[in-house]
Amino acid sequence: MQTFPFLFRSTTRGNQTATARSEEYDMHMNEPGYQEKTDAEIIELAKSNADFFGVLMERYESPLLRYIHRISSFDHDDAEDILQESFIKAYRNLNDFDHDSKFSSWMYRIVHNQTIDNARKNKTRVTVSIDEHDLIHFLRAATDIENETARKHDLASIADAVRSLPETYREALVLRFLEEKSYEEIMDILHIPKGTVATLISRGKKILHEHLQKADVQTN
Amino acid sequence: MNDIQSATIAGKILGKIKKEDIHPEASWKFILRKTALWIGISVSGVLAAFSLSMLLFPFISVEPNFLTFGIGRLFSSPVIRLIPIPWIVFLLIFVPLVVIEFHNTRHGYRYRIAMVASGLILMIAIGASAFKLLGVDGFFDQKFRDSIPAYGQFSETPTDFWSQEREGYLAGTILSSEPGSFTLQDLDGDTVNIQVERDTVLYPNVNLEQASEVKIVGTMNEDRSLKAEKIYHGAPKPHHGKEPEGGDWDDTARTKKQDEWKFRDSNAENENRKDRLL
Repeated sequence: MQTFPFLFRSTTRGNQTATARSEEYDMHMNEPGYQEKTDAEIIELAKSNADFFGVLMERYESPLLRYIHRISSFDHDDAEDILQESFIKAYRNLNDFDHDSKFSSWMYRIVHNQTIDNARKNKTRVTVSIDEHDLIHFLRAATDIENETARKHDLASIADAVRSLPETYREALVLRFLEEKSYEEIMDILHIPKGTVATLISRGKKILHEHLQKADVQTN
Repeated sequence: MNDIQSATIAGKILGKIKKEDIHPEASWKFILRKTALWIGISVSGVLAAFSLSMLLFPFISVEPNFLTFGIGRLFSSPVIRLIPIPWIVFLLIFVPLVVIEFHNTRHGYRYRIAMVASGLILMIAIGASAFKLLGVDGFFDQKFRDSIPAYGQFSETPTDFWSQEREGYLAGTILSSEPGSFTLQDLDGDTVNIQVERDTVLYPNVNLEQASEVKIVGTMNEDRSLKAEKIYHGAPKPHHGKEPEGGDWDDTARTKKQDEWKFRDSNAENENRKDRLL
């Protein structure tokens, strides 16, 4: 059974209301089979008890925080603020969640919009900040390039090639090859037709190939 | 990111939710928004269909060959003069509006704009056809002309078109006829002398006897008589309210459909009729 240390952490900060609800929440969480509940089932519970929303946040905060970093150049604190604003927005709009879509896609959509909005407000260029591991993974998935080949080259120049992709293509490629989302999920996250998703990915790969060739990186 | 960091973020958010007593917005607000959007789509769609029916009304209402009357006379062509600018403007507002509104529905983004636009334009066209079949376009056209004086200035009727004496388009009722000419009471109630010559083309069913209704394309002479080049059967509803025998211009248009494009200059019957006049 997974525990929820954040709830106890808030208790130690002296929020009495949070403490009481945390215990109640912990009691719920320890019920057998609770963790196997689907997002949709937990959403229904969260509508009447905010504690249950904690389960959803815990499920998605890590991938979403990583996603913010992947599509922007915000530092960790700013990314956390974006995530916080996104979760609160999601909680406020819980009754608007469409059960035909995945909760994860809905959350990614909210986080994506929040990140773009904050970048515009701060006049920050929306770009990618992919670490070495991600970069190699991305290249392998998007271009069939081998680890060794990538390592032989200056990863910075490869990262530049990725960064120089037009934003729309980069977003689609990041979601497909780093977040490993399906076309349907990307459609729901970026709010574009499925055919357009396929086109963006296909063209994005082609452009990336061209950029890598210019950087003198051999692709298969 | 490690678990402690991860847990801290979720804990902070949950703490904030509780501290600020944040709650999910009520379902009815979302239902209301969605309903308002669909009402907006419906209203915009109906207005687009109405605008299209009003836009096409002048063209559909006239005889099938009406638009060919001005061939070779670009600026006085009925095509130009009948174009109802306000309805084009409304159409250009409502069609994009309905497309944008649809795109903003919950699943609107899943469809390509071109596909959405095509589908909605088809539905608008069907709606416009329904308005036409129900006579809504004609009813409102008359209402607007009667109640909004400026309306007629933006869109001419066939009656307006056939009252352009100087341009050589005239219609009315024959008051009297004599060899080589006849006197016409035009749609404004004025009398004009019409000259008929050997090369004047008479279209089917043209009767150049007294009390017959005709439409004439010709050239205005200096003596304010009109040299007829082509003469067509029937006349639109006159401006002075005197309806020609056999119904208004709409009815004329309908009965004329059977006759269109059957004309041949060598038609013996027409020649005989012309001979009788000349």
